[in-house]
Amino acid sequence: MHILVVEDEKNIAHYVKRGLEERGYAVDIAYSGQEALEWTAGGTFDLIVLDILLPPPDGLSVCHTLRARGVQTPILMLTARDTVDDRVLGLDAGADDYLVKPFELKELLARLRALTRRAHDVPKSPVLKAADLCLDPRTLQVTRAGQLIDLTTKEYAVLECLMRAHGAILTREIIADHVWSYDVAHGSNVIDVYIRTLRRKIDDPFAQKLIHTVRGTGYRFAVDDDDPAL
Amino acid sequence: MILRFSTLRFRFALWTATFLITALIGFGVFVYIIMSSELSRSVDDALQLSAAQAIAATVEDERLSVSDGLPELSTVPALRDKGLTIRVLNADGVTLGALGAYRDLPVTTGNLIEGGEGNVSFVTLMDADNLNPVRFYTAPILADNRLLGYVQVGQSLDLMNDTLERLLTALLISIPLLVGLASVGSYVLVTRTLTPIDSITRTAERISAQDLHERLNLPRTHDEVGRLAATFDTMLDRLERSFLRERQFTADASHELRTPLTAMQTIIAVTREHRRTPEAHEQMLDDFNDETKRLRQLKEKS
Repeated sequence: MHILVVEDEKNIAHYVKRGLEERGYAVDIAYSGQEALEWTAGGTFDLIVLDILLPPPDGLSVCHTLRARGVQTPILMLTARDTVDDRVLGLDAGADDYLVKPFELKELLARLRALTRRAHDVPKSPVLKAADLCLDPRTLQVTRAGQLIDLTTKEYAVLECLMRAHGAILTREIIADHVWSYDVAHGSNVIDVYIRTLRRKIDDPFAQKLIHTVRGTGYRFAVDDDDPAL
Repeated sequence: MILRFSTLRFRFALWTATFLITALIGFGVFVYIIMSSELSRSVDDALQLSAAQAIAATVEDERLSVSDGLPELSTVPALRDKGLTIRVLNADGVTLGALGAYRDLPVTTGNLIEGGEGNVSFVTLMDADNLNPVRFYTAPILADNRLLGYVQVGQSLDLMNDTLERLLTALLISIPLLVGLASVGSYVLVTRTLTPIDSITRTAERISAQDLHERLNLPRTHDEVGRLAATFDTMLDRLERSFLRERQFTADASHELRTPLTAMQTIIAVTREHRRTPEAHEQMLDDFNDETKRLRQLKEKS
């Protein structure tokens, strides 16, 4: 999950970024409305956390502009104003959800999870499941056949990315875009390294393989082996 | 809901009624007494006049002569119809001649003595049926200081009593009627005067902190109520302006408070999520301190 946090308060931005990263999200920060527009023009984000009071243009204008551009990314609006009118204004600008400052980090995380559920065309269950593999975004726990599998944060992020795209072929670039923020340099083979360790932990001890290599393209997560596209 | 009897308009109507009743009853009593005494005096005057005429007609050469003079005395039959009675008595109280409706009424020695020598006297008796009062005037007939006899003139008081009765009836009908009319009139007038005040009350009830833009907008008049309404509207203007200023200030202050608070909460929540190195804790405390500084500056600003 790659998130853009648009927030001009440095402490809030940094700590939210750290909190999210430690939960497996890839996070980039925009400190002004202008930066937010530039980031979204060039990059792929799964979610946008958008403060309203920003160096111009403000969050409401950014929201309007993004929706006018056809950007479908879920937007969670943050604001210190909490009157009904303010909330209505924010939602009508195109935001999907609204969180009033001061907020608890765990509420922010829960709302981001809810937005992810709504955005993806997957069952609305909070837990992702494929065959006997379970991934719980609330606890970051992964189990297979009831057996807890110990994953690093990045391994978890790659697995979540694969599972959410269930059945579709993901290139290494797409996976990288969702798992790493743009401020981290990484080689393209780093994905192969993570896939290898993931396979060792998830697939190797079991008969049914879930992570498949699509030769020359990338990877695919599926319960069935025989994909008609191959 | 306001009790109907405690409203100003009701009390005003009540005051008007009470005042009018007192004034009109006083006036009625005064008119009745004046009228009654005036009527009595005019009856007495008429009796005296008739007596003087009778004396002039009956005294001839210093003696009483009733045989031919008395019937001619009352040349006005109308007077007789209304009960005028004349009697001539000698000095011993024996009737020498009489005419009129009450000529047979017993002459008590009492009223003779009362009308004794040199004196004149009025007395009111009841008639034969003991129903109608009759006023009698007894005057001595004197010639050279010698008492020749008496003349008694009587007159029924029916006419006077009828007049007084009609006056009383008129007063008893007109006073309650006037009081009722005046009460209703004052109620209606006060209601009309107070209508703008009711409107002020209703507006004041509707007004709350969220809805201070309501105004009376009554037509501007220069009377007391018009000035009150205008003052009320200006007061609302001032209230609304100061309330909006207050709300703006609160919103600003709230926003400035929320930002450092959010930062502090996030710093603590994120730091607690995992085990941290002492350096990370140090960094977290520095960042936290920045936010407390901002809060302190906020407090100094206000």
